[in-house]
Amino acid sequence: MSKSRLRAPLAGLFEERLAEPGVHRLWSRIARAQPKRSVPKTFLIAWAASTVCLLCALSYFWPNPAHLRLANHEKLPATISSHQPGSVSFEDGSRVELGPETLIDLLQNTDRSLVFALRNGRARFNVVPGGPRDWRIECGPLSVEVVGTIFSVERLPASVRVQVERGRVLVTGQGVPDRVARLSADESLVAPIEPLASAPTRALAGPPASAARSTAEPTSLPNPVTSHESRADDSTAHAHRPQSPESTLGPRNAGSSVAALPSAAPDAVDVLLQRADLAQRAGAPAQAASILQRLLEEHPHDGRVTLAQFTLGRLYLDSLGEPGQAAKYLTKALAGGIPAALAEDAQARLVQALARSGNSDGAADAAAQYRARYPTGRHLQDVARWSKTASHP
Amino acid sequence: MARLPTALLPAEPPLVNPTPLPLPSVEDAVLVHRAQRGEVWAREAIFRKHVGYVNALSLRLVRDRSEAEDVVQDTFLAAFRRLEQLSDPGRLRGWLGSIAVHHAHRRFRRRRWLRFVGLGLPGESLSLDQLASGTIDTELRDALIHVDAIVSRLPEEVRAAWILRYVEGYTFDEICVASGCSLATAKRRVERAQSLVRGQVEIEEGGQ
Repeated sequence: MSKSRLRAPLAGLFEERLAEPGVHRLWSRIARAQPKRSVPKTFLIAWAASTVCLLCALSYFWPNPAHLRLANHEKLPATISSHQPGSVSFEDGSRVELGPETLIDLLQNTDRSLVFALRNGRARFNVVPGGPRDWRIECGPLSVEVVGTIFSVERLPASVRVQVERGRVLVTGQGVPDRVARLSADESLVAPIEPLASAPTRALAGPPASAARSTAEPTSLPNPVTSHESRADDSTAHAHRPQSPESTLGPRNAGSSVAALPSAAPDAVDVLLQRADLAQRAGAPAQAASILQRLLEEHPHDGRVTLAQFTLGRLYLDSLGEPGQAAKYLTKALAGGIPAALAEDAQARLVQALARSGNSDGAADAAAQYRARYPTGRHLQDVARWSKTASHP
Repeated sequence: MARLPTALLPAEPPLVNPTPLPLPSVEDAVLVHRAQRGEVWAREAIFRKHVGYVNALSLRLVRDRSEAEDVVQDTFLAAFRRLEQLSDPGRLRGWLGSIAVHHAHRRFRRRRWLRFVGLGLPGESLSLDQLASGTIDTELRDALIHVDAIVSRLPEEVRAAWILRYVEGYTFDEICVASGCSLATAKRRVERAQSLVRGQVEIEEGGQ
């Protein structure tokens, strides 16, 4: 049988034509699948970038009509008052703890800001950071601005006290040095409350500032802004900085300022604190310590005693080189219920003070307490080092 | 108003078509140029002009009408996406063919994978004589039957290489480029199939 014979290419033997229905069906599939119009990549990238920018701008500027409400979604009252200590919680997680006989007025509540006026008493503000509103607390001559932090504002008869436990606040007002001060954690500020009308009068016609101060009572502290001679006494409204004793005043200048301060009235704890702070900033830690000891003797039941004890402990440890004394005051401050924001620091410093005073057992005990209370504390490494130094001098 | 005789009415202006549809004789280079400018009609014209060839080639390679249609669709979609890359528009037909071969090989790999995982289903398997023109004589049809009886038993890549060489008339270089294999592999595959075919049918290589 002979083999079949073909001639390549064989394509000519095959049907190539496709019937119109088949052509139409295939083209329909292709037309549906292919993109309608090719868009350049650069255009797409530019379009995406501009859209993102636009959305960001809109999200920033778009007015949010929602005002802050209480945690139970009720509207904020115009006035918050309490005869007993209590607290108010907000829907964003922020919280205000009120002291006894406290009165707070709500001045403004918008999507961007929340403004309170502390008319009386003491309030501790715990503001959740990162919120859309700027919080501002007006209290006498001071304005405290904050975004996210924990701080207290206390209105006393003669002064306003601001104490920061966490974060930062901006304090502005007539009684603040240079009208504005930034307070960080563990810092405090006391500003006098003065009748607005009396300030210019005294500046123009009153007695010399130093003379006025020498007999001044707490309610008539000199106005640091109106008197040129009283520039050093700007510290009558000053930041109390336990962490940073560096001074903006020269020691010479400061010494005269300390001397010119009014003698403390028996109930003027704030004035004593101011004087101690000023002495400390002026480079006179021994004088600061004696003022604080006087405060402890004269006002043993005041709520700020633990703060004074903590400051004393720091002074003896860091500036006066008496770790034994430092350990004594730090132990008292911890036993007296020092504010939580300072407690960790106090416990760590206690370890250091005991170690430096040669009390290795006490240092080891304090270190163990620190580790138990603050297992992830920020002084863990230092505490371990101090404790080790005490046991192996 | 008396109606004017039709002969006296002013002649209507001729319709002007700004982008007249191409006649069948329009060269590929012109169609490609117009399609590259984004004119949709040119794409359809390219499709209509070459769909028969691409479809026939796909059918001979994958031997399944449904899969061949998928290959045709994939081929033209890929071609329209990469039309800018066609450096010589006059070689449009060969370019489309190579894309179709590439997509047919993807089908082969897919089939192999499905068979491996146990999901391969026996599909349509069109023989060469079924795909042949109705006008060829009985002797040629018998020869195609003999050839198909041999190549249908070969692995798909080997069969495809033989078809490209002896049915489509590709050179070995064109086969290795279209199939994505080396020149040696292309030659080995063709020779493997041809050594079997040679025992049954004598194929003259004319002009290749």
